Amino acid sequence: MRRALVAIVLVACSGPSPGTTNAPRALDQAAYDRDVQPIVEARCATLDCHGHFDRPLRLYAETGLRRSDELRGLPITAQELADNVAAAAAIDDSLILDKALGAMKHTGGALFTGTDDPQYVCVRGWLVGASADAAVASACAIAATQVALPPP
Amino acid sequence: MKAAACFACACVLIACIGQTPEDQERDAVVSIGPHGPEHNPGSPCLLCHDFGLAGTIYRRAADENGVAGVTVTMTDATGRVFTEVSNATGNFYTNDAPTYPVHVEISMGGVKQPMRNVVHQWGSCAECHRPDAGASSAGRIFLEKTP
Repeated sequence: MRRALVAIVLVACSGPSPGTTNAPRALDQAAYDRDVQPIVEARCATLDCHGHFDRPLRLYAETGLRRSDELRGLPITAQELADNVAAAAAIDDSLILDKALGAMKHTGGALFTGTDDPQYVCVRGWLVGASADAAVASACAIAATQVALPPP
Repeated sequence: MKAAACFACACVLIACIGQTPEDQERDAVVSIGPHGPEHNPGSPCLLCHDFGLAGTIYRRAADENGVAGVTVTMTDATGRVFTEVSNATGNFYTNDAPTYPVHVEISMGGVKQPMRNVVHQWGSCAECHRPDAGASSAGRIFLEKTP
């Protein structure tokens, strides 16, 4: 009986064995590049916000942080876009969405006006793997017009 | 002997504490010119000053000296518009506190340069616009794209 209890406690406390750690979620890179990066660049990734090497959620953008000095002035690279997706995949959806809504402490305050804000709908749709849904695609199209940056 | 050791320890402790990143950044500012609106062009103004937004404008990206007479138009999140003109060393500042994000455009003699993105929270332009463009610097704020 005692041995069985010890075994149960040990199993309960051991957690995942090496090599079976939670893999990052698979997020749609193409949908991110097309729909989400323009929102991220305009709302999140400026050099005075998440476009900063010291930020826990570090985000790259053409007008923000670059992976290397020589990339300044050049279009965003596939590697930078992949890094942004990896950064988002590594944290909980609710953390991203609640902070952006201002429902959690966020230095940048509330970025979206509410859960019906097209930018919110677009980002959330991507996070839950629904970028192809008509409502999400429609929201992303509206969001794109809101966050478009002037040409260099 | 014991008192001397304690004194030495106290001196070391005092020397080690009190240096925040802002302190270090402030210490790194090279003092240029007499104190006043034209001093320390290119430095992060809000390290020492309580402005709403401030920076230095150059005619071209590679220029060492700022340019006077450039109109800086700042439009904040509420639609309020602040306008300032750069002084002899290229410096400008506004004491008004904008609501972020702020869109900035510079113009002179019919030449306009809108900032492509917005300022989200840092009122010191030089925090992001350092002399050399690089991974974490957009380079100087300049009016003309010609080298």
